[in-house]
Amino acid sequence: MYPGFSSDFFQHPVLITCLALRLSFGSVQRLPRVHRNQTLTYGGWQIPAGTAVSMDAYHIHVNPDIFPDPHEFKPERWLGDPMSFDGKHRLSYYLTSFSRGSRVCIGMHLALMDMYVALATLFRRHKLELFETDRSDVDFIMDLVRPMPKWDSKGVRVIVKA
Amino acid sequence: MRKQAIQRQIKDVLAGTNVESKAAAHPTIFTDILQANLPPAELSFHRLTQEAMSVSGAGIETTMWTLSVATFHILWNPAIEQRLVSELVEAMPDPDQILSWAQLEKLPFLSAVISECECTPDFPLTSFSTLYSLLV
Repeated sequence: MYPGFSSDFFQHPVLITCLALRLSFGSVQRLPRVHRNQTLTYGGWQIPAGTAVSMDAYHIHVNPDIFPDPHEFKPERWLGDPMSFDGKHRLSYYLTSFSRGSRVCIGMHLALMDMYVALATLFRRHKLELFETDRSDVDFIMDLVRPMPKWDSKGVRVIVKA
Repeated sequence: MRKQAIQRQIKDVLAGTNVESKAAAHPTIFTDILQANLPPAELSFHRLTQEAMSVSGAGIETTMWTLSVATFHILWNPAIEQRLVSELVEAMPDPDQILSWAQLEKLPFLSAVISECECTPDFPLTSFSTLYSLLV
């Protein structure tokens, strides 16, 4: 049984286990890239050919130079399509959830559409209230391919008030 | 459960009897893979099952988690919830008439909320085999 497919929440008319998911397997992934025949220069570093170099969205998204108060949820930081701290790029340049370039997430547009339509529908039609849920249920503790909160989190749970 | 469902479909795809992929109006991922002149090792039942698991996992996990995080932070911050709901009510006076994605994208606060949620590190989709070992 794959936990993402739990249909429990359809059986709870009042208490909805909202999109809750707990995975119980482990590994860590990054996005390694290797330039096979050329030395790369990064800042003051010379990276020899054949060296695996990797990045991940987490360390960009919590870099306080790029996103002040990185652990605070502040939608306002995006209003008006602002420039980044160095004035060289739009702030959105540093949004690397979908990665970038020729290997950008193939599902990016699908995911964005899902996000817009799901959130707009949910919050336009319903009044929700958090149920025994706090930040420890969403804060990133474990890298299990996708970020996971603490082991014993029951997920983001809400009560549908209307 | 999902693995079994996927394995059934892959068997059908390999046997050329998969109804969905034949009836599809456009080529599926598996149409392309099977026609791509790949070495046999890349076309094994096991290998194609991995491919299907990673594609479906990648399509589900990421968005599911981002929506969870979004829902949490919106409800955790009443001022944000209030601002978002006001914007939605103004844009969609009738809750039965949800705007299209293209129109929703023009709502500044909803867009900002989504950008802020995207900041949650999503998972770097690369290795099929690692994902496969995680999901089964």
